[in-house]
Amino acid sequence: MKSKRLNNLGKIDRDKTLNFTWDNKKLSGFEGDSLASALLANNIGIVGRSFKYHRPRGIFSSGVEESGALVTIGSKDRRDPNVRATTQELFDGLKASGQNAFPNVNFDLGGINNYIGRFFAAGFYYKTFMGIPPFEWGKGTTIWMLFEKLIRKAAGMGSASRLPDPDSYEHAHDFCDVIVVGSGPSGVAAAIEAAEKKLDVILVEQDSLVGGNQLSENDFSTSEIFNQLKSLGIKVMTRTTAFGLYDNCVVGLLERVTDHLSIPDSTLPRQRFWTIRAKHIIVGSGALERHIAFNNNDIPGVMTVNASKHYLNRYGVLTGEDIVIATNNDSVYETANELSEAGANVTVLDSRTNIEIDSNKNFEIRKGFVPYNINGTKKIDSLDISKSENINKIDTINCDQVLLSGGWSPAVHLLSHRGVKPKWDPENACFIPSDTKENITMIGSSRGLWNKDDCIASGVAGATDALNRLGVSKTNYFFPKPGGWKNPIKPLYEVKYKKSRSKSFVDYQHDVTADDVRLAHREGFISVEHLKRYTTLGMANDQGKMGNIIGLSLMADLLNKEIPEVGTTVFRPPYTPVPIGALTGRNVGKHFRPLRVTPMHQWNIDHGAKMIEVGLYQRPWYYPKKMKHSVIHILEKQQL
Amino acid sequence: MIRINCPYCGERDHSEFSYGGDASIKYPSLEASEKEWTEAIFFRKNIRGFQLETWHHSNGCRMWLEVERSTVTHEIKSVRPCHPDLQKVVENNK
Repeated sequence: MKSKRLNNLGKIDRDKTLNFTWDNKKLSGFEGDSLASALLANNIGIVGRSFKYHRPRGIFSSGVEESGALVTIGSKDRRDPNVRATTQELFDGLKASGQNAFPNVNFDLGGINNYIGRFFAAGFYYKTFMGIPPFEWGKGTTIWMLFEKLIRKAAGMGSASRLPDPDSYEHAHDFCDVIVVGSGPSGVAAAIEAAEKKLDVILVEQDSLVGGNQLSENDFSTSEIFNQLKSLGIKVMTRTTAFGLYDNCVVGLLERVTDHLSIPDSTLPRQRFWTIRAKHIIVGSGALERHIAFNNNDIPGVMTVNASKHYLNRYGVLTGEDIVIATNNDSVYETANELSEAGANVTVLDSRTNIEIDSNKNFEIRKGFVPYNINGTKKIDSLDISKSENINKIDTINCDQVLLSGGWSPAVHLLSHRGVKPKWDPENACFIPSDTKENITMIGSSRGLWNKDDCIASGVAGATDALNRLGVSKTNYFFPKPGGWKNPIKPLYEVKYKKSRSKSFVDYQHDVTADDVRLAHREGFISVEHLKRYTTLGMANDQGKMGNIIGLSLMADLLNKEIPEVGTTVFRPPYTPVPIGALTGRNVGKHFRPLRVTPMHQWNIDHGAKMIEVGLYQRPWYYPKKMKHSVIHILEKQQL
Repeated sequence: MIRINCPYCGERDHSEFSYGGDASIKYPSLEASEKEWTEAIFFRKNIRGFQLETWHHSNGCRMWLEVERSTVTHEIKSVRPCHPDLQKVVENNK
């Protein structure tokens, strides 16, 4: 991968240079960068090692769905593991390092696991170490306890600091009429509509800037929208994630107060844990782009298409020189255009044949082609492509980056927290939210709308829905129907090339391959919940934000069923990880629980008593006076 | 989090309240049979849907409330004071 910073484009401040270190190497970025974009600007491809096989991993995305660029930030008692480089804002003096690798991510001894990987199929640990033949007579657990320690060491992510946390955290509460989650086009439209009708509105955005996916558009001004929202009296909370919805319209928020500052104000907490009690919740949490499973689809240089657009237009970073885009939908063509205008050599492989695309032909479109294998180990050398019907080698394209788009999955997580199961939309190949009786409305692309105008219309409709339910007005409204692409999407989840033993990753986070899913099927773990637990598909940091649908579709294929019949796993809070410190808040140290004192408490302390806890009280355990051991004392006194 | 609309204090978190059990139980007379008393004290229906329960606003006005709550969705249909006289007072104050 040859990524570089451009002289134009981006919403970064090129006058303010920020210095940071990556694995003790001194690098620099600009104000407004994320750690991931700064690394890409410095042409750093390998940022991590994978969970099980220790394969080199790069940056896959530009947001919370990231499962490759998990890094450790800070040092000593402020060491914070498994931070997504894509959402970490860059600040001066940031110290970041790769994890799950020894000695470092470029050269990792654990990489041997990749070559003996066929012994590490799903459930390998349990199958093997629960009982090794000579010892297995009823002592499986003992053996497991022994090996578990070693396995935990070899497979894993970063390690947390063992020192007490020096930062403080806070709990806070607020009330409002309507809380809007997400500040994309739909969320902003909804917030404005509700605020104009004199409702008390809170708008929550997990990013540092307002705008949602519009931040990946070149001509978008975030400050304009921010000022408009402010002038309407909307409380805008940036760097704040709505991680869960609870009963009676209660929303849990995590606000990152000082995580982006090099020298935080010591009077500020690091993070704030908000409990918001709203009357109506509007969720415009957007959609997440999926990848496509095929052999070696995890080599550094693979990325989602929208992420590349994001890096280009928000951070002014061109992520590759010779770029191949593999897709099955219309969402990529704007990006292809912009990338080629920025100077990249772009080829688009579209798995569909009967499509009409209007573009100015700066790039080559190969209709009916799919990728099936990436050549390379630490970087992409070339891509083998094939006709989409019959997988056979047709051509090899030399490239340094492969961008994937296997469709979009609406982020239905928050609604799922309320126990509302999403329904399958075969037309758009995604799960879309079902209706609920509770005061929750889904808007924008989290409803499966791909068109910006539709998103804005749905935002207004969502706000009207809220107004109606709160009894403020009685207006008719309608939501645009899901979809919005000119050519229909053609489902493409896995490209299976029969001749090779492949590592085609379904879920990057835990190294779950398509073969693991097939193994789970062979061994009878066909229920989605069993599949998840057996293969660890959809677990850990990203909770299957990218790979879940691919895993489901593979299982549906094996069972000869439709995806909705196989089902979807239920998403539970939190949407993104919440630190334990934030959950605890101020209740640490002596504030963990109150100390109740007896009238003699101070007297006991004054006389040097060692105290012992008795419920919330303390009572003297003993008085360690310079007195000798009582037995000796007595013996001496008795002169025995 | 369940939010209970206390007729005296307004809408509050359930953590201010303590749960008091089934509100639909009518205790039999003192002379009633052992069986009747056993049923009144020990036997409870495991309702799926709305059930009548008592809640004590222990960290608030300390009123005992009768709450109609769904055991499936936590949706609350109605809240009123258990004591009929208090109920009248609350209604008069409206």
